[in-house]
Amino acid sequence: MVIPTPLLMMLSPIVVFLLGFLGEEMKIEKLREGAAVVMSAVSVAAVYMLYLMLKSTPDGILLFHLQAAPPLGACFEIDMLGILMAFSVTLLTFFATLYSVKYMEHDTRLTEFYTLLAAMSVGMMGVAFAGDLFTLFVFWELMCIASYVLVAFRKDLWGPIEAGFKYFVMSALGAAVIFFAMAFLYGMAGTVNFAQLSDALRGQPLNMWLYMVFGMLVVGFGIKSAIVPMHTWLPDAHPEAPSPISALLSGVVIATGLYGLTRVLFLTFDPGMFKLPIAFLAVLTMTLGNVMALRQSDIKRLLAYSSIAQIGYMLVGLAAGTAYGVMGLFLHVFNHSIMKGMAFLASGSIAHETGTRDIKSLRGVGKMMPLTSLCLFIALLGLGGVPGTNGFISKYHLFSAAFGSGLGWLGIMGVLNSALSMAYYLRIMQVLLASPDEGFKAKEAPVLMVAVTLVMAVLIVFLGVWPAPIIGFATAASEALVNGLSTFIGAVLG
Amino acid sequence: MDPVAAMTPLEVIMKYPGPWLAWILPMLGALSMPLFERLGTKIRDYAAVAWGLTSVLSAASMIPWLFSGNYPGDIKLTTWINFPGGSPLEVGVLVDPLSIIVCNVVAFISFLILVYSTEYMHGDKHLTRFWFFFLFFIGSMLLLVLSDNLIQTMVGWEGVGICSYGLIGYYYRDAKERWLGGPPPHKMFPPSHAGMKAFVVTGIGDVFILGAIFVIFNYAGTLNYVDLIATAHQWLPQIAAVPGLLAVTAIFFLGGPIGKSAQFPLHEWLPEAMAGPTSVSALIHAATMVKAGVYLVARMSPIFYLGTWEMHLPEAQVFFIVIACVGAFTCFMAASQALVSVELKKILAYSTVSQIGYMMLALGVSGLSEGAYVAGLTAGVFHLMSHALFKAALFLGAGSVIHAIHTIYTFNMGGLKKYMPITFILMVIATASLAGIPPLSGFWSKDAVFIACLVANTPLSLTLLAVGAVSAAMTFFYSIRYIKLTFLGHESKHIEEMEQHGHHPHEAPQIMWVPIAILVGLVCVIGLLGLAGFFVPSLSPELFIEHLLHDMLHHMGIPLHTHHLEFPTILTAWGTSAAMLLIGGILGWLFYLSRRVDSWEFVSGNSTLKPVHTFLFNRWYMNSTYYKVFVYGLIDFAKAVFATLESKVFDKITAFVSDSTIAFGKVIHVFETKVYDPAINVGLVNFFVEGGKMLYNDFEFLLDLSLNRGVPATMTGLHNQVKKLQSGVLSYNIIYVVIVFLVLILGFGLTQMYGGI
Repeated sequence: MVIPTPLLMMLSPIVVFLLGFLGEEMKIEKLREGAAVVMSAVSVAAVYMLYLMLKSTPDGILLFHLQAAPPLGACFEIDMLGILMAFSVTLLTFFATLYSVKYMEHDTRLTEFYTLLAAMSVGMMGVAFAGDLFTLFVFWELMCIASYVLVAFRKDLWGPIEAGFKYFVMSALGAAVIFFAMAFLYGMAGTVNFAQLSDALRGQPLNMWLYMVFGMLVVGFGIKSAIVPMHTWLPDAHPEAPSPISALLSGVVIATGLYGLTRVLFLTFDPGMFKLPIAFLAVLTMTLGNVMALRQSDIKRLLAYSSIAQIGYMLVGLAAGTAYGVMGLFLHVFNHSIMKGMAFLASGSIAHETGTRDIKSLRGVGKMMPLTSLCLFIALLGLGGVPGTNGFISKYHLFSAAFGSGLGWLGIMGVLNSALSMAYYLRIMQVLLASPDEGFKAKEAPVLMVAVTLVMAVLIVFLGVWPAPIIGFATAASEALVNGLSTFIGAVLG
Repeated sequence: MDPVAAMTPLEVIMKYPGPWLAWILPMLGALSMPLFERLGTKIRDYAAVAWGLTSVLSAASMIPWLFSGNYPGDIKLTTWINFPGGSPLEVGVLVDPLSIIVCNVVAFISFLILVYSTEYMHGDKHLTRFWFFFLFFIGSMLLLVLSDNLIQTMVGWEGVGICSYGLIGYYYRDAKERWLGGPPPHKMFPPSHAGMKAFVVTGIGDVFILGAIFVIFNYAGTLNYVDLIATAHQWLPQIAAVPGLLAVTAIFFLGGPIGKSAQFPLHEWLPEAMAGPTSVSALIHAATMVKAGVYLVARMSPIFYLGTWEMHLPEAQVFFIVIACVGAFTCFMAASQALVSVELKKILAYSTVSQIGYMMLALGVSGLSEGAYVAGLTAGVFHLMSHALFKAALFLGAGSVIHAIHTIYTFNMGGLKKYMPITFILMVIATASLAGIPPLSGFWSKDAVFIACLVANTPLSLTLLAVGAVSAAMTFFYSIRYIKLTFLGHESKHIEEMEQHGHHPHEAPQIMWVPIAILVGLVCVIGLLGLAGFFVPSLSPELFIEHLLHDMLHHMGIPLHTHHLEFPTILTAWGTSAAMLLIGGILGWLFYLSRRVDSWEFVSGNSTLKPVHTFLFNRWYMNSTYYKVFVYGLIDFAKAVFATLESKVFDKITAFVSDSTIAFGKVIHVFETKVYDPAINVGLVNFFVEGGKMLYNDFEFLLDLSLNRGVPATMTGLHNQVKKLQSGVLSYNIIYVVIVFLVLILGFGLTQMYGGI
């Protein structure tokens, strides 16, 4: 068994922990922060190296068996889709870690914080790279456990504890259901390896057990990705977590749930079968997310509801069931990770400086924190899908995919929802731009925090004006999943 | 054939720096202005000039290609957007004689005006904004000219529109002295209003051209000019197969140029655009931006030429007929309005509209007969170039005058000759060129337009020639008029008052008159070259341009039929020019120079001319009609809609919806608090032990609640319920999960039972 060098970055939580521990004991300042930032940057580089390795393979898949061969041995099967997902994850983790250096500096127990952060990121990467259900589940749990603790990181406050507990219960339920579904699949196919599973089950006549499995998969992954009505934990958990963690949770963790769902559904079922139920859930999710976001008074809570709505848009791509739709889905996953991540970071900066998350009391912040507000504006415009931002590009592809696969009504619902969502994005902007109340003062956030948000803002606009490279990337990713399934199976089974 | 394809974007730019840097550098310069402001206002002004210079140099680096005849053509950088169902949109520049000529004219004149502005705008507090728009304008204009596809052109097109808006409304604080119009009792408008007007009116044209672009893309599958022309024989007949569509596309396409170049019926914004600083009027509203329309018509004309004369699609000729008629009519109309206007800059603005009419006329007649194409195109481009030079000089001169005596009205001027001799001489030469007095450049270029009409030699082109000729007479007349009112005669009361207060009108500083002198010098040089070209053909600028365009069209694969120009044709054109100069000149001399006839008494004493004067002064009543119908009409319509539909119908619907929602909420609320909530929370044991008792109490309570508490309680109840539904108790959440699971399974089970999905 050969573990390729880039995959060694999966050990980064251990490195961060050891160095952080060392720094604490030896009183070396900023050693753990440095280690965390460097490790997260190394992860981005590692994913890029994997990308290059993958490009040079003929059949578009990298196989790494950790122990024995399939059906039972754990393995990584890395294709373009996994790389795109891992790229979103590591990029956002890097930004969030960098941001945390300043944002979290007055907290204690930071070694745990960075270790958990790295562990969560590695968990998500593992999910993206997993080649069998077992590996997927192990990394899934790694991601989940790290995130429970991170949500409740400020354990001296009641809000985070309650939110973390609720998140824990719901998510554990979801994991249990997924596990149950896996047991079913194993029972039916006699394997947990993706390729063999697909070979055995896809195209088989559907029976009641498969419907059970489908329902459990939707429910299990749906809880994690906050598909309405399994979303109820999200509006509590995301705002209560520290802002960099909110950014990661909203930006990539829920998308990881969607990734798992997409991956397993496409492996096991024919798209025609899950089109309608998913389309129905998509409409429900985006509508409820937008309606609930309308009247929120807490800015982070509003963004959390907006995440639910965005998950609804992404489901449109899954419902379309075509390669084009999946392309839109993962394009939006990537774009949304930057936009929503940045929106949370920027609103975290605002909360950090003003000490409040209440939208009404943020009047005039735009004057006092011009750069942060500018970034937040760009992120909000992107989330609303204004042309010139990357959000427009991916939403356009999502909705046109819906039209292309005969779900015109779904596309129309999406467009209407998009328009509705502008209402609350504009409300935030209006408040920030209003003239400030008497005696309200705030100063611009620290340079490091502003720099992170600015870089992400530039990315949003850049990818909105010149989307060709990322669209090419996402197209390759979706082809790998949808059209390249037989190559995938062939490569694994030899 | 295409070695560029294999190169990376950076290598492409390194290989052909000129056409890229020409527009990228000014745009970067615009962005850098706030930074330079930090270093000091002087450095910022110098930096602005330096950025302008880089653009001139980049543009000038393309000139050698004109002479070698070996220009690079379409240079593609990278793919910008992949369109489904068409070739991808690539970022690229198209370097051919047409774009090189126009781009150099733009860059060079922009630079001179930039230098002039450093003095003219000196001391203004908001110069950073001014330089930003100015440089961004240069960049956008060059992008527009150099672009190789319609979308990129549109980006530049809108960029210049925004800069125009920002600079017309530059004095957005709307101080009373900046208002335009009048003099009272006529209505006056603030600069910000003028900017908005320009933006809206040109925007109407833009909507039309976008429509045309969509049609073209739908059929051609590409927006690249070169590809459009190369594949014209495929897609043009397809459009023409739908009766009327090609004509509509042509007319819609012309909407954009007509709006941007201020042609009838979208010409009304240009006179008001004079509210901006004069240097801006010189640059944007005389020399460059308003020529964008002319350029675009010239750029697209090969396609319609092919359609008309190669594919014999009668509808394609609509393009030429419409633009020729619009051009000629605008030319006449604007010249007539210039006869009576009392604001110096407005006279020049009307004159600009009128002169652009000539260019459009030339481009229009180029398609009226097969042999006139090169002659018409040449005349359009030549007049564009020569007009840009002399009109920029005229505006800058007018700026110097306004700068010196702080008034925009000609009746407040007069007698300035002795105070501002240099400006006077320069203005007179530029005016002579405008009027078409030989041998200045204006004579040759206007003559080229007449020749193009004669070469086309169809009844329509000859009629339009007559219209153009009458306009030429009027041009000379109003030229004499404004020169007289501004520089000759006695000082007006305004100047006398100024002198009493100790302000003497003074000559413009050197930094202001030198750019004008350079422009006027070029006017003379081109004029003299034209004269020399009569004897040595290789020196003639007109023949030079004709030769270049001929080559360019030949490269594009367009079959041309050029006639050898016969001497009688030239003589006819000259004769027409001379006759018109004579008519205009004699009348002007009578009214203004010799003062045999007092113009005002003559007009007011004549019962025919008085209404004509009023008609002309009110701009043919077009402006007020537009306001009446489109502006106030729309506002009235909106009010009517509000009064009838909105408050009488929609509000009622809203009330109905909210009432019924409240009623519905009441039911839900009762259900939630009284049935659902206790049932879940209290649990099974309690349910069995106390359920019955509670149910009994609840029913009683339910009746009481629903009947007595009424609306207020249900409103709050609904709100809380929805909230609770979202994030409430953990046990609810798990219930939801179970429900979804069951619905999915049962749904599938049921559908399978009834035959599957």
